[in-house]
Amino acid sequence: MKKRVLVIGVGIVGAAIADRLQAEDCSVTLFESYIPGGGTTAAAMGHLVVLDDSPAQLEFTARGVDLWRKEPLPARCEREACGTIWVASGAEDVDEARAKADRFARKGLETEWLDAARLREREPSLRKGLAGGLRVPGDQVVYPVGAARWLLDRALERGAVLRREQVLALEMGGLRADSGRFQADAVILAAGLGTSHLLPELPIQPRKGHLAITARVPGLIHHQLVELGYLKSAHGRVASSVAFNVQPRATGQLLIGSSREFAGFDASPNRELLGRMLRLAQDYVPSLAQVPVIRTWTGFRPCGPGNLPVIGPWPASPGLFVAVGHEGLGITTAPATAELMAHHIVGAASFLDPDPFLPGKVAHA
Amino acid sequence: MPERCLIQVDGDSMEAVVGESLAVTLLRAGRFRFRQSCTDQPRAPLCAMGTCYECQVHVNGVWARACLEAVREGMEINTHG
Amino acid sequence: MAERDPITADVAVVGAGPAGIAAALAASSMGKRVCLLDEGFNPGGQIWRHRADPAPRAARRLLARLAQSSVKILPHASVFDAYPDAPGWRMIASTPEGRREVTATSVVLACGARERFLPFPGWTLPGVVGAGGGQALLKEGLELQGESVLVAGTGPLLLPVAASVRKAKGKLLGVLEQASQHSLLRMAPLLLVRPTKAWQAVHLGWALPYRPGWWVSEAIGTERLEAVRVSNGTRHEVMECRWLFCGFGLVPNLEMGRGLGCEARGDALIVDESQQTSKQGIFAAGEVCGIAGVDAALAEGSIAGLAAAGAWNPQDASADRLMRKRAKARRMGLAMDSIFRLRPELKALPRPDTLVCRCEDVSLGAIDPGWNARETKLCTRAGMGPCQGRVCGPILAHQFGHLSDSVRIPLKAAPLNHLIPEEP
Repeated sequence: MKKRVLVIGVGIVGAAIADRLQAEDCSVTLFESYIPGGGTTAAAMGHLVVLDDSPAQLEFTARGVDLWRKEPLPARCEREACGTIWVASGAEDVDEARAKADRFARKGLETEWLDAARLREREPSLRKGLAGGLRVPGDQVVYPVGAARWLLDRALERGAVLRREQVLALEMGGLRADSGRFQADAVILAAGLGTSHLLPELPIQPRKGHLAITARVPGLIHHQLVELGYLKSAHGRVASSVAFNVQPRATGQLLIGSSREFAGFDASPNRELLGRMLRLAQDYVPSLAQVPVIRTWTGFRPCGPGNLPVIGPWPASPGLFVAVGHEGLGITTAPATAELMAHHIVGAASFLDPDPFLPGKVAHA
Repeated sequence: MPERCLIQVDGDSMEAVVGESLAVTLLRAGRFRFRQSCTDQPRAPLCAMGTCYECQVHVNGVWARACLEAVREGMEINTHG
Repeated sequence: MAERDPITADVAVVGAGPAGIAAALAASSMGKRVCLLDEGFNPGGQIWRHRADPAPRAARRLLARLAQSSVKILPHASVFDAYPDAPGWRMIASTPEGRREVTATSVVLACGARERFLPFPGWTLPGVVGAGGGQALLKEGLELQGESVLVAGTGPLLLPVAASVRKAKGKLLGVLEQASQHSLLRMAPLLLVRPTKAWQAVHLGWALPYRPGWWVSEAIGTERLEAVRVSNGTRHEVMECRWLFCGFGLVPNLEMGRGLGCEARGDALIVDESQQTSKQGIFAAGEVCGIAGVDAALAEGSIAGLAAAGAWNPQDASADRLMRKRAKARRMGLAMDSIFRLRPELKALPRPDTLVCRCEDVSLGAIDPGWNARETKLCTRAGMGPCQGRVCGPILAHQFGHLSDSVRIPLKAAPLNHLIPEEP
């Protein structure tokens, strides 16, 4: 007897879960009231990047990148195997890069230290006077919507069903949607910022970000470039911050980030913060000054109660599972999230320790 | 008499009329490939009023719309951008 | 550094076509400090270009008045951001000299219109130019030297374009008007109340090979246009041809109005009797209020300029004249819309491999008819290129009924450093 599974929310996380569970011989129905991949996923940068803010985060992101690398992504996913260079501006950053290299090495992840001269060889557009950079060749970038829709399409080919309607409420053993009641063995809430509406006990806050994309300037930048101070910006809880992050896209365009702020659901641009973000990018890559920006946008990262997403069975509600709160890591970790969910739903072997992600743990972290 | 000047187009020296629309100057010189599309098709001015971006070229290394540029002495133009 | 200081004005006018010039002159005549921003290198807009082809006398008079006025003109200024800045508004422009900021108590949007293009096989070939686009190039001095030119599409613009082709020594192959003869006959009573226009139309129409009910179904060539296939639905012809000037009417430039939160109905900003939009202090004039031509633009520009200066009084005798002129021109605009309505056959011209988005080379066949505008953009990249959907937006609206997507900054592409505010 196939397990009947309902997945609420078709961002990249919901799509990856549906794809994986359908492959595990579940019978999956997906619910999306808006455009599949059209929420946080559509606003995301699309880096597949290993981060090491905590041991669990390192395991989680490394597994995500590894699973993505094995996927035969078609052209529409715009995969670029460009790697990341963590750019060091001063001595403090160099120490941090060394420590990062050690942590990565213990995980068996390849890195390469570039001194100032070799950094300039690799990325001549970076400003002079930088201390060096740590290259992580395994990191990639994708077009998030393309990747999410490819996962969704594969799930649908395997027999999953997509229902473009609104889920109104969770119910014991199922849910109620626009067209009526649906019963299942498992309901998976992967609704990102739509989560709190259905499960108020799990607050997911919008953490706003700005991005800017340029006209096509192929060859200006070759790797994803991130400043080593990035994690301070990403994981501090200050009101607003910017960090230098530029990606070369498959189109020859450059995608420029990043900013973080808590501003509710106000999507209008914060011109001061956008300006700071662009000034920082220009400080690192002076020739960006003349490059035309053709579009900027804002998006909301789904920010959960802890520093890791919440993935697993929801206590006191048999049959209800959650996979939310990925903040800025949803694209990288979607396949690792799906793997954890397959462990919880069908008992599949889990590469990762599911414990740090369990709802009870994270809420009290 | 309109004032004339010298400009460089893809490395070739060319006489042009000061103040004239760069798009017209290039078309008159028989250049019909202002830019190359992302699937490598030739493109030339469509709207001629700054909207369509089909006449994108590089002027002195900076991205520009030829239809909105007035010709001036010493301009260096690169097409196929 | 004085040049980098923000310009402070009572009234900022965006767009220096007829509506913008009229507005700037009206506000300035009331003693207001006016700043007129325009993307072109000379004022006059798309209609009054005057390099090779002198503008009409009325236009020359207005341009001369503008030159003598106290209006501060900021040419070659592409306004890429506009937002409230109490007690008025702030506009950010990209100019060859760098970022410029203008603050103003009130704003007149006179952003005009752009041409509507519709796709058919081969329409991306060099040599296929808009009808207005072709005329702009001719007015800027393009010489045709006996090369063969076909003018096609729809609307009252085609006749003057064809006349310009002849004047530039082009070999005019014909003027194909997609509207039927039957539809065009409905224009006769309108022209009787407009004798000059009637004379122009008859004069041009007789003198030119005008073919109502015909359209271009394909452009043929490799590096540039070599021939076109034309049709009237039952008959087909192939003509050798170096240039095709083809446009399907105009689309108002609403990006800035939408970005400022002004309400629109269909393709036009909603304005009250004084040309004020739904946002207090923001006025609109000319084609952004719906396509109605130069007479409407001049009347509305004057009204908007006076209103923006706080000097609009509908009880004035001169106000009454402006309002009557505006009403007449608007009626004419509506009638023209219905006469030159696009025929359904045009929707069937693009093939699955015909491009609809020229920036990103997205073909018609890549689009699922079940998608809305945003899903189409996200899944195919249509509209993600530098023109920001200005060309493909109206095409997708025509083909699939898509409503245009939200407006984002920069309203027009601008160098990155122009998006960075000066450090305080």
